[in-house]
Amino acid sequence: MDAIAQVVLAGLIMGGVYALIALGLNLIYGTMRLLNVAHGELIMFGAFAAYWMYTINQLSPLFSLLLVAVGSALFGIFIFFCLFNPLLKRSQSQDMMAANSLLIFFALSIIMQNIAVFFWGANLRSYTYMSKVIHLAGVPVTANRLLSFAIGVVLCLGCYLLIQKTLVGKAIRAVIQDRECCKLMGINVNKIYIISFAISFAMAGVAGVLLSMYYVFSPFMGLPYTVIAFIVVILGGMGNVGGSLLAGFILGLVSSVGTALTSPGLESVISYLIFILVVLFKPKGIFGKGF
Amino acid sequence: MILQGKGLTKQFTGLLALADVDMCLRENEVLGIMGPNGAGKTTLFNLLSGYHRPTRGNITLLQTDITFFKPYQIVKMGLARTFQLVRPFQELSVLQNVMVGSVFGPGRKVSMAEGEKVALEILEFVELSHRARALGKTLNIQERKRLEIARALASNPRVLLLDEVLAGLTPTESQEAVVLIRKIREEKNISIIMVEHVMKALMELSDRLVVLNYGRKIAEGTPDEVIQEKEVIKAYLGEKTSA
Amino acid sequence: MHMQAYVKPVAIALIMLSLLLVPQFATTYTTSVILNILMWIGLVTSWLILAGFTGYISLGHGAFLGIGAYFVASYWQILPFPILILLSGLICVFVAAVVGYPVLRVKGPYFVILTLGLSEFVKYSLVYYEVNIRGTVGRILLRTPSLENLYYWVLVICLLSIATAYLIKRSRFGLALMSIKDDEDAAEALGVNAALAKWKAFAISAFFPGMIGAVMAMRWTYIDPYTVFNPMMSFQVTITAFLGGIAYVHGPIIGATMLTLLSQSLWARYPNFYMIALGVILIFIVMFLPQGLAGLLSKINVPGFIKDVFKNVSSPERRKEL
Repeated sequence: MDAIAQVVLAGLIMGGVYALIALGLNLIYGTMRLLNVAHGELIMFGAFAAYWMYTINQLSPLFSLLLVAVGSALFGIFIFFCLFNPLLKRSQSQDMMAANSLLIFFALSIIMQNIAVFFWGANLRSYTYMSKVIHLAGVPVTANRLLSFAIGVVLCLGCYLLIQKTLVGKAIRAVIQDRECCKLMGINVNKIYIISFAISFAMAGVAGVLLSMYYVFSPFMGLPYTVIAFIVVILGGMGNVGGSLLAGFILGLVSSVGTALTSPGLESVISYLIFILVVLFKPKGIFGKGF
Repeated sequence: MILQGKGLTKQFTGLLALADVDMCLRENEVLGIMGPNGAGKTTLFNLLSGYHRPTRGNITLLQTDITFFKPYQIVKMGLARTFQLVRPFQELSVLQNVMVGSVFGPGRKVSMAEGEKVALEILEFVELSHRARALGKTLNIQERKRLEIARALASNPRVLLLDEVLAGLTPTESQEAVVLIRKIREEKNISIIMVEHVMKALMELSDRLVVLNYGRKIAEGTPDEVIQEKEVIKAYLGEKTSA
Repeated sequence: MHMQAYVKPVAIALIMLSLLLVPQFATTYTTSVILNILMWIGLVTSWLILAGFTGYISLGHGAFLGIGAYFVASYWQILPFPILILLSGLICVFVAAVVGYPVLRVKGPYFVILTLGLSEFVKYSLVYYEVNIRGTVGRILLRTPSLENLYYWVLVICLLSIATAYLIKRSRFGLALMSIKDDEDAAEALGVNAALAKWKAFAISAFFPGMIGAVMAMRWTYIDPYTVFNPMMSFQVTITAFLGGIAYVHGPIIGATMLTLLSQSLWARYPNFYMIALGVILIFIVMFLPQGLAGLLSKINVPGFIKDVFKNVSSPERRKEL
């Protein structure tokens, strides 16, 4: 009984992070139809930033969370203006824009990965913060996990409410549904793009900080997380923000249970297998298009 | 009877695009399809050319049931189509564009050399020879429309589906295109189905008209007969309210 | 005019001759650098058979290299080397043929990430197999052929891939592939069996990395899944292709030469800078040089001689001929 509870709890905690990661990825996909393959590298930078601030300046990850969020958002805006804005203006077709931006994101991921290796070396890192074990209804869990889960869920819900309830959110949803129409209706589509980039980058950075509190990280951690984010986004429906939330938790549970039933060595194999099957057979997601 | 569709029905999720439409095309005939936007004209074309599978109904081309054929098989059977949004192969030359049709379109295997010869003849026929070496993306709208027709002709069809080839042309260009369509019919012995919004041209060119509205066939007959039909007038002009 | 007709064959003959003589006269270092250049040319050219003609950008090309290398590592000293090379190529063709059918239905960015996912899947499956079933990490190859021997193998494979790409470009098959790139629906409307054409192109393009992987395994002498299935190989193939210019058959030659020389000067001392430079180059190409270096070359006024050498190889020229 305890073993099952532990697996489920681990799955839920993982799922919270997955949802957070996927939400950010899906925002850019939804509004701009672009796949950010450097998403995992943003997470990695967030983790290393938290590590740096904690080990050098004794800065609590809870504080660096804010700094990373702001820093990542600014980085997103910077990237948008330097690279994507000119590309958007130049591209004649959506296909061309998609192909070009994919290459740009690839380039960014390579650059970020190697900058990280240069500064921090290729080894796995970690630090201890709030690692006290708490018993939650008899199931042992470290405090940092619970804390990061709580923050993750709050952020996800916050983002969801932002999109569902505010005026900006309404505009974002409109752009997700039909960009051309939005342009004609006088919505400043570019502004929505910038907001998407900022939120998406910030969420990735924050996810990195949260992960770093209880997980090991290295410059090469990016790609697996990007792939996980893709799985969640595709499962939940491309451009479907609510779907991402749900799919994140589902994938967290499935992979936690799957790994528990088979072997930890198969974790990557299982997640890639799910990914392949989803792209091949359910490219439109399991919840369809709506919210 | 060269092409026949029976009981053609296409159901998209939440939308009945085409409901139980019968149509036929006779040898060396021009059949016009008209109807307001969303009437099902493009869906009909997509069914005939294999881009969609009908939910119900069947299609016969030259005594062969082609209902479940793929687009590339249907071309080889002798039915070619153009697209409403003309899309030349951007990075290929005009000649290569036409060669795709002349090499792969016919039912038998055609060599590159033979395909090139045919393509040059077709370009001559549609008066585009002077642009043969230009890249597809450099053409203007009129040239694109001609290239679109040339590619389809190059596949040596018995039936040609023209999807709004006059749209976007100036009145002069449009008149030239009408002349070209006449020429195709007379010199190539090809039967044509055309969807067109330019009513004048449709009246001028068609032997018969089929009128669609909300996915149903509401009238069929010679142009003169069809414009007298109450249903047609209602569909196009709306019901007359109190004067 | 008559003179110019001779320039191209003579130039090509000279280049071939010097490539043949490299191991005899050059130092070991130079030979290995040129071998690397040839390897990349072969990889990129074969990648272009799918990506260049049809626009289906695969990030799984490196996986075929890995499969070839692993196959050889498993059967080294059991089967003769030439047969191993050929079999490696054929196995990759087989794998591509099996995988290709469902995978090639997926389009655009989905196809790109799917191929990446597939290659990572193969990698982690092999890692699992090696660690948990065989109880090893990697494999060491002993008594491998000499550098000179390997050099000639790579040269042959590289030339074969160029010849294949060149022949396809001028064939019916090439025309079908190029029409798919611009507009798959329109191509089908004109009688092109797009699914079949893509499938064939994918299978053919897998042949060469399989063989190259087989030869390179002999060069590396140590094989483990993480290194031979490193996604960076696939990324680098893509970047090299875009740097050279994907619309040109001679693009890979330019791109591979440039990048290999860059890597030789940076890799040994600053491997990270080399990778960062790759990323920056890629961004630069996308932003400012969409046709790649070959495209740049065809625009600027290069000496007539160089232009002549490439004349029949590059696509726009070929188009003008038509």
